[in-house]
Amino acid sequence: MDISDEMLNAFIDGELSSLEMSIVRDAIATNERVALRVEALAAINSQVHARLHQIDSISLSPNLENLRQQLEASARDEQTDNVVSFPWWHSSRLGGVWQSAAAASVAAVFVFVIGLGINSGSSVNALPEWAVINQALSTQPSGQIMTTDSGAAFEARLSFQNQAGEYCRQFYLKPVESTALQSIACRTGDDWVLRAAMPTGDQSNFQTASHDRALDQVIDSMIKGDVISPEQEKTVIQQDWKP
Amino acid sequence: MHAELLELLPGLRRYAYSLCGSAEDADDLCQDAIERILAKGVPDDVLLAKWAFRVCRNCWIDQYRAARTRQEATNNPLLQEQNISDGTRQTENEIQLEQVNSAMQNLSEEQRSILSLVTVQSMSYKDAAEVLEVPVGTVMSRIARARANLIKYLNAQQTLAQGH
Repeated sequence: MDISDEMLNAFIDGELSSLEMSIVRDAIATNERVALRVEALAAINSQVHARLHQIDSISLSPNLENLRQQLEASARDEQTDNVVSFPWWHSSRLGGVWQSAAAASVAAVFVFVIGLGINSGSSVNALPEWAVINQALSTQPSGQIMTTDSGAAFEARLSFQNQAGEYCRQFYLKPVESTALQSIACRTGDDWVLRAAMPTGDQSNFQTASHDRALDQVIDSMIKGDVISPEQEKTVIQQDWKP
Repeated sequence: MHAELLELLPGLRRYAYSLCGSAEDADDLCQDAIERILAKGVPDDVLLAKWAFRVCRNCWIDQYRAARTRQEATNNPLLQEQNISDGTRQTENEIQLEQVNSAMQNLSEEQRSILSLVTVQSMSYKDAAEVLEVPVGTVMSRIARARANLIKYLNAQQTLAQGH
């Protein structure tokens, strides 16, 4: 069976149904022309990818950098406005019903974690670029958006201490080519360990409480006292998160 | 919206780069697109992640198509020869990327756009179709033609290089 160029391209781009995918795979295995063509198309794909990513290593022009900084400042303001609407850091004043709901949500969020293939216990490499995230969690104040070398957007959203006295941080991560995640990591020894993660929509930056209720409730179940203020956080960062 | 635009910036910049072919023009285009989005807002029924790419493309069509002659000049064979002689210290990878760059500039805008959206932004054919306001079938045929043209162009360059 001969296969069209359009179908081979759709195969490379993952746009075929599973039946069509297996038809193409069979053709690759049995038809040398198809195999060579797929090879050539995949190679050109990777070259185009590499070529367009070249610009990532070039500094932004002064005007664009200026615009980026303005966006960053406005984004911080947006975040501050929305953080006020998060109700959960007053959890110590909430009753038992809320705490029961929170316990149920812990399970829900960890289902997300399992669904993502993340081991919620030992999860050192659970998220992409974990070494970079680990470093950013140690050094980035909450509310500052950082772009990693690969183009992923990272932002620590807030810090708190859990019942065990460990420092924990909620953070947002949007890798370039995969789903955005809202996550919680806690400082154990000199490293951060992922405790929860859940996918969040690309359109849902700076979530309101309703969007991230499940994660908020996880924090409710973990937090001891109030969330750490920006001033306190600055000091804790300087002290390298030593409890 | 500001935070999301900030998040979209690297991808938007790559898309602009695919359209313009130079980092300097790409940054200007990216800036124009973001400023236009900030000034005019986003329609309620559209996702910003798709809208931003559409605005970027429209800006390019509005402002940069006129500069095409300048881009074509960079593809002038005489200039290319100069580039090759200047590139003796380039690594093989850099030369290969330059060839891809040159090949991409020979594609139509439609084909460059679709390659960038699908290959680099990892958009589905459906999402790319929405950005470009064309049917999914058109996306399929454009991407097939774009890659086929790139392969043809690069093979021709290789043949020429072997002939020298």
